Amino acid sequence: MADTGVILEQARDRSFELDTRVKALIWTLASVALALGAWALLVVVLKPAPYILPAPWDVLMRTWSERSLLASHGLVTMGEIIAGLVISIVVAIPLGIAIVAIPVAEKLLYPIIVAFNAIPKVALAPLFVVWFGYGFLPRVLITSSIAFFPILVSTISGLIAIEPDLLRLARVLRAHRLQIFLRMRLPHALPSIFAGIKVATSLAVIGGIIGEFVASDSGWGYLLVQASGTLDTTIMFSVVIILAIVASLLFSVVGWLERMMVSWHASQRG
Amino acid sequence: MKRSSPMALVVSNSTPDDKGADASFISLRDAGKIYQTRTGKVVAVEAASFDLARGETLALLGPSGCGKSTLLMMIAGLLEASSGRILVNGRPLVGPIPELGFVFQRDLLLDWRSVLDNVLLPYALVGQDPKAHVDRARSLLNRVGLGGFEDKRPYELSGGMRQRVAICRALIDDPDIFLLDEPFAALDAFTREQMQLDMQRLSLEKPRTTILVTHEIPEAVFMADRIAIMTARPSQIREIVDIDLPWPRNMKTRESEAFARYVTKIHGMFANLGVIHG
Repeated sequence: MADTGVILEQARDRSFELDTRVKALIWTLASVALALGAWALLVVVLKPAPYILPAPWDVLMRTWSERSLLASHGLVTMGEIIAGLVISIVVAIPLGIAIVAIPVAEKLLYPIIVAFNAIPKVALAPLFVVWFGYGFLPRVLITSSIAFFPILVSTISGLIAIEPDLLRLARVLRAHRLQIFLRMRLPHALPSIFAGIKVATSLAVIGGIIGEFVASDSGWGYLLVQASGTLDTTIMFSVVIILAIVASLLFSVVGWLERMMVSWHASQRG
Repeated sequence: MKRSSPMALVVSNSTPDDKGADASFISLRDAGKIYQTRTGKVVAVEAASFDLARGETLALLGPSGCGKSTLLMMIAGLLEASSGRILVNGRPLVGPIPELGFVFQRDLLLDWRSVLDNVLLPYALVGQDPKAHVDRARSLLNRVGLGGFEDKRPYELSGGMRQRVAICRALIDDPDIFLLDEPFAALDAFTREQMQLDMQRLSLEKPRTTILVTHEIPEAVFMADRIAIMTARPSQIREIVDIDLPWPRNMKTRESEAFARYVTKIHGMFANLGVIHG
């Protein structure tokens, strides 16, 4: 047979896979060590005032001593980020589906959505304060209004980017509309939807913090504003570093979900 | 010596009200397609007419732009003819015909489904339980040399293997009509030749009325009972050539003098029509 069909990708050797993972981890740690080392060197050599650049060990000690304060404010911020993200996912994906599936919905809603997307969402924050006060709700709304659009846009573009031949095939097979949607369009759009959710995840972190800058009495963003007022740079560094770690963790969770759900896509096949 | 004539007697489920149904199972009467564009009318297919007997294979052969794919889409019921008539089994065509197997140039496999689930897709798309058809899917895959690959994902297969899966998907419901739109055009020459041989094995279970769109003269000669010679500008069928080579056709067929004569003859026809010029 001319085409004996070599299997292109066999299950990789387990030990080899483990080896590459360990290597990746070592490089990550080395990279972190480099950044911390450079920071420590700067502090030792230049001896800046602590309110300009605190030493890494001071930041670490302060983080430990203020751990309960940081945790309690963190809980608020994390709650906002996750709630905002979930709300935007739950609203944006069905809305995207409706816009693609129902021509009237597209004509009616799309201009509104485009206009709303053009607004810098931060500008809405003071308005939300007027409407909803300083509670949890306005901050979640700011977060989700920022995280919403990338998911909506990626859902729509993923759903409409299906090849015409695939739809012809569906017609030849006399496929039902619902089945075409469930078994062709939606799985086909998943990689794109996940790309949108990833962008939304980073935006949700930004949204949560900005919401707390404007309308808050708690959360890491509030803590940053307070610390800025008292020139408490050390605690600001704590918050920023924790935020970076938390954001990457959140990103990893989304990445893991993506690998679970679209393992078949080229982007997940390394 | 056509395989259609004796085998047509075996199949008896044609409509009794139409005596000529077996002789003209698919019948085109001046079927044409005109597109209205901003710059005016574009004739995609000019009045095509032919009769295809049950079990017969017709190749639509011609250069790109000759409307052969458009004609195939019309016969599949995916495009409406703007003039003339298309009859299938004596009935005018309305929408995609049932019991139709269609193979596209691209395999169009769904990456998120296993090979087996891709073959069973036609049932899933109409909301039927595919479980009842697993045995047939497995036997089809076996026949194209893909036994043991049922649980692989399409991206783990080579181009030729993927197109085999697509062919199995088209044959899963044992269609009477088999339409092939340049099915091997994306494959390398060796794989293509192998597939041309393998296709015959898949037609053994019952004669399928087949229309093959191709731009390869030897492929058309090897696979078809008759070849419709098509040209672009105007997009029309210029002539229909009978290929009187014995079935089953094999490697020896390709080496035969008769095969070479047909290839040369058809090549000459295209040269006379100005499709190829020196």
